Amino acid sequence: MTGEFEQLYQGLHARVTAFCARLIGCRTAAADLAQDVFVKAYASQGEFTGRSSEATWVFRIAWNACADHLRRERTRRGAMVRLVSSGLPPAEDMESRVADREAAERILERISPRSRALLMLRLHEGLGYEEMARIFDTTPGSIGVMLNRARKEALAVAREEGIAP
Amino acid sequence: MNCVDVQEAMSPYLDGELERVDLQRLEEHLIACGTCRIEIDGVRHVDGMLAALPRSTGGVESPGDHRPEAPFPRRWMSRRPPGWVMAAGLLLAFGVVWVARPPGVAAPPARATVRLANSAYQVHVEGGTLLSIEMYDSQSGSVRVNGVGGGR
Repeated sequence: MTGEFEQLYQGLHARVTAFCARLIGCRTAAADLAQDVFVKAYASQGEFTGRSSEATWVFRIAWNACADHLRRERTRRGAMVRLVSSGLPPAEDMESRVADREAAERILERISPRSRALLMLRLHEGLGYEEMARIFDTTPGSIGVMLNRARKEALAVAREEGIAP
Repeated sequence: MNCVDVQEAMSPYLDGELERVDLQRLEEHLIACGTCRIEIDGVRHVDGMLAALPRSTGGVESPGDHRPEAPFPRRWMSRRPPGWVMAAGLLLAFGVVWVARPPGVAAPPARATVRLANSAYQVHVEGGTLLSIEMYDSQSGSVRVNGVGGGR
């Protein structure tokens, strides 16, 4: 085990777990999936060419792992997985924030996994188009088009839910 | 720039990935077009809601599963075999000792405890009959009783 890899693991593990949890909708499965992601990353260190950042490389592995997981789940259950909030009872002064959060969770729940991944990587991880293009194995221009689609999908859901202008 | 062009350039615009010339043309269009303004405001609003989501709340937990976060990937640590494998091994070891004991030697103790990793296994035998195997997991503090009979 290299010290650099341990550092990479420490720096990214929580982010990758959260990313997987958002995508697949189950924290327990996400924790296992994140472990698999790092095991795979560790085993394939030789394949890392350095063209992207290590974080981008790990998120690419994570996206592929989540997509595989969702495909398996769809086959097994014949339905999309759930994604709901943890649902702690809100304090009164937190009500609007909690309502917003629940609304945002509902939007994520209803859009496609790919759109969810795109929006999370852009809005949560702050990845640029170049980095995202490496994750999705496409061009930065296509990422713009894919993000457009994802945003329109999210906006349509938000309007249906009555939470967007 | 027309409405279709604005729709296509929406994400690069919101993400700061638009060329300066296109940015200027898009903003000129937005001043004149209320429909596109509403669309972009809507997307911005949803973006804001999604960006404000805390990372830690993604997904639901499986009921009763509160495993502490491993300090390092579990597969890189020595992996403990599943409980049933350990219990089977324990039973086998117990059986060998029982069968191989010299004639006239007293039976093994009615209860034997074996510690493996974070778990302790206690096997309860009485009068040659295996009554139960209990497992205590010191990480979760849980006790699982795997009853294996009890009848004589």
